[in-house]
Amino acid sequence: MPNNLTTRFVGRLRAREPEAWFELWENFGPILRAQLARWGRGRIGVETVQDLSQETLAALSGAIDRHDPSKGARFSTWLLAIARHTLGDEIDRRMAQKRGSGVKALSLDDAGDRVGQGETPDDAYERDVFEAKVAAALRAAERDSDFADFNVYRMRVLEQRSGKDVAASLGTSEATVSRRLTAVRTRIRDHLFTVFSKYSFTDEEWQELTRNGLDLNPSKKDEASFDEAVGEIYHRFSRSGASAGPSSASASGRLHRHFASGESRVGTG
Amino acid sequence: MEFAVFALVPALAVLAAITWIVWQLLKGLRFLFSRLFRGVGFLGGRVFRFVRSEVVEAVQFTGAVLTAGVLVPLTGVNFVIGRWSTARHYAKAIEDEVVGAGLGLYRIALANPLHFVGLGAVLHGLERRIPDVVDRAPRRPSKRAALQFDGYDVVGTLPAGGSGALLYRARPQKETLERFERDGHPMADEVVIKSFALVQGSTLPQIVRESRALEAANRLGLVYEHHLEGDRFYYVMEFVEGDDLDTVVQRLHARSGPEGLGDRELGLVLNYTQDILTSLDRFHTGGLWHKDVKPANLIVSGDRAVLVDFGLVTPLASALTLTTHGTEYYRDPEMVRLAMQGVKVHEVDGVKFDLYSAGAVVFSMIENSFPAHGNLSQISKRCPEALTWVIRRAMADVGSRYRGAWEMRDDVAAIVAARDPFALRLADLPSVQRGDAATREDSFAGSAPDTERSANHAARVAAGADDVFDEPAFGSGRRRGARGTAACLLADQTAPSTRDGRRRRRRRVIAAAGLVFVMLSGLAALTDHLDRRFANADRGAVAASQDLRLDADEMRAYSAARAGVEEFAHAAARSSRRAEFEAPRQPAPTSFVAPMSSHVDKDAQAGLLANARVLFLDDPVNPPTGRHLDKMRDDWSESGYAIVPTTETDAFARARAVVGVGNVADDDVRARLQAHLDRTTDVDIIVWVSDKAEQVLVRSGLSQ
Repeated sequence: MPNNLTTRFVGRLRAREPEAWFELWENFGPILRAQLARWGRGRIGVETVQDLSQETLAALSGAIDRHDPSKGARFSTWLLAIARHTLGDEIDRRMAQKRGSGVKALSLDDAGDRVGQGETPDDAYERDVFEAKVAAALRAAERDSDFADFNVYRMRVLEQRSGKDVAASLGTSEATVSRRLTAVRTRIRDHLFTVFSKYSFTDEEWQELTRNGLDLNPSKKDEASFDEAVGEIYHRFSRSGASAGPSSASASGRLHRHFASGESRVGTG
Repeated sequence: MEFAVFALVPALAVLAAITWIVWQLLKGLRFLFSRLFRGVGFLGGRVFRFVRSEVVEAVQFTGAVLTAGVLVPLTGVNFVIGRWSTARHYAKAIEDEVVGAGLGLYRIALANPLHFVGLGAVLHGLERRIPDVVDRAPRRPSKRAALQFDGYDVVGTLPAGGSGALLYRARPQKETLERFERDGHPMADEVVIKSFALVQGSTLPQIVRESRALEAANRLGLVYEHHLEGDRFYYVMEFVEGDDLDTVVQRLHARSGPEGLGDRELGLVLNYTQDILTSLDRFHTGGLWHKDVKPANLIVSGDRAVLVDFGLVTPLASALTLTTHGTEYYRDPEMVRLAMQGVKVHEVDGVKFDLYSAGAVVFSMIENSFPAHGNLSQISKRCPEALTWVIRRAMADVGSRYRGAWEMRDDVAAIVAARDPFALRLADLPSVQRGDAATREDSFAGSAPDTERSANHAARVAAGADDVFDEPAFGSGRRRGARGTAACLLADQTAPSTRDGRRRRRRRVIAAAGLVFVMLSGLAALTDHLDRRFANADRGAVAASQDLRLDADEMRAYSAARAGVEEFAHAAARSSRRAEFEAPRQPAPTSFVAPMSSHVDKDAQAGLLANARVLFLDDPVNPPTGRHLDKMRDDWSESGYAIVPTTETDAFARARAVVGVGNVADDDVRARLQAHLDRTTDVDIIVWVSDKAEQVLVRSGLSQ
């Protein structure tokens, strides 16, 4: 069920608050791009993927008013539905523009090609969304922590090095490493709660946390398993890479123009 | 009887064993069949998709051939009757159809079958690398282009970037070379001419942006000359012979193997990094922000990397609005966020954003890939730990980033100078030694209580932390966002032991001051809370004693409210950050609550009646500040609403009694208040305000 943070975030989206849209783009943009690239594999280029994901968010901005988080649908599912329609429209447009040009009519069910055995495309997408939420929490914790503190956590948990090794490298004691770990872990938990509050509309989405070993209020002895779970999710997430490469005419730039008072800015800045 | 029992037990045991075995067999068979069916389904699906793809491609191929067949005579006829432009148009359409048919044929014959047998990756080279290489190949200029630039002989073209410009390689003529000599420019056999022309597809904003960048680049002597004439604009700069960094890095990795760069290649990468940082330092010292540092804008000539493309170069002190121009993955997302806020260039620290890009470029050299997840991107290939730290530091949060290219270069130089870069400890890096106190044992920042840390963080964010440290004067706009570790880096030139001692003492003083501050704040908050609580209770008492004709339901709600006040006071005393953290784990459904910062929704207002009577109700649990409440009253009043004074205790006290100790976000209380509003006749709208949100309730039927 949506809570106050959720509704407030949706409220900010509805109010067309650029920061909220940027946040959404930062967290879900890569997944949308990856999903669109999967669907359009071999038929649409990087630039088009970027265009499409931008259009998806633009479509979302038009449709957000109709979205009621309390109706029980996952926000991510709804986002995906719009992405599907947007891609379908794009392919139709291309077909109409250039009939017989080799652009293939797209079956969105082809997304099944990339998923592993025993995992449906929906499962894969939901897993990606879950990992993106955890990544968003890690990113927020990193911003919120001292550089050295977070890097101790990074070395110890994400890179799975021993406490002794980390301490030796930093010229400090293992006790200090341990204290820094605790500080960052607390922040990660705080941010996990915030992120899941914003992007989880159903109880099921909340349960994903516990199911993946990320209990937000564990006992002391569970801290190791919490770290282990974070490390595992981080590795899966960071291996996923990005489907669309660097582009100077980036989608976030277009997103900026879309929300920046409707007019594109001209200037060297 | 006994015999029967003895016989029955083994029989039952045997039966149970047989049942268990059968059950296990059935389970095994079920597993086997499910796998088998899944495998068959997978294979069937793959075959189906393959066949479908082939059929669709074949149909499209046929369509393309037929269309081309129809277009050919049309082209011929127009050619014969001399309608050249129409004939060219049809010829272009034929070209499209032929390309489409060719691609279709390629998919039918090669791509689809290879994908079907799981060898799709084989085609990556054909589909991605070959078009890229072809695209980068130098081209001969058209005759028309060769005549374009006075004083130059155009000898070739270069791939165009994203700025909409065309790039030409040209040889300066004799008189041009003499002019270069007179102006003090280095003699050059070849130059690059970057040309923008409206007729070639450039847009006016691109030309304006580029000309502004040119003014900035001119200051560093990066441009030989420039011309603005009619509908075009071009400028001339040094031609650097070589491949871009992307290409060079791919070559280095191909030479090194999948584990990552070898020692020699790593040495080259470190040299390139130093070159990049030296160039950036030159830009920054000259008060400029390159804004588009990425591998494609770095040319490796011999063993040095040269930063090119000044299309986005911006004065750090520019008063223009910040834009998001740059290249994704090499551009700090924070810059995009700031641009979306509409800040000015001089209000941000452009130097830090160039450093982020530099870190991303070093990452891409090590990993042979761009940092898809920003600073969370994993470094999986062979890399000295110290260089990993440098990359992380360059791509860290703005406040924790290096102060300048010089500081990052110092760290890289230490790695280069180390006998074994892989053995270099982080503690031996100059930036860490210089006073990154956060890495020292005696300065554990994380040991502060959560509340204190949060308060510090909030204060730093709220203050913008402009004054946290004093940067060297590279240019204006470089003091923003400096906080955290960067502040620690201010460490002076004193001896480490003295510095540590001072730091310890200072920290103790700060901690003591912080503790006193927290205690005083807590005391003040408690006093304030008690005042409000008693005031609310008094107001309730007045309402009760004056017999305000409350109906039975309202009286019950009021009594519950009074009882709830005490309970709330205890709960509030117990509440802590952890409690808040845990509470919403079973989040209660809430209605839409507008953010505090948002103003009154104009669209919503438009649907309401003018002169409607509005009652403002402050939330008893989380009351807003008086200033905020006054401002809201003024806003509504200016919009033509009649504000019901709180001195009208009747209306106010009734609403207050309905609310009790309910929270703005509580759906049940909201429904109760709405029901009360629908019944009442002296108020049309209730605006219920807390310190974080506001709830606007409108009497049913009013908005129609």
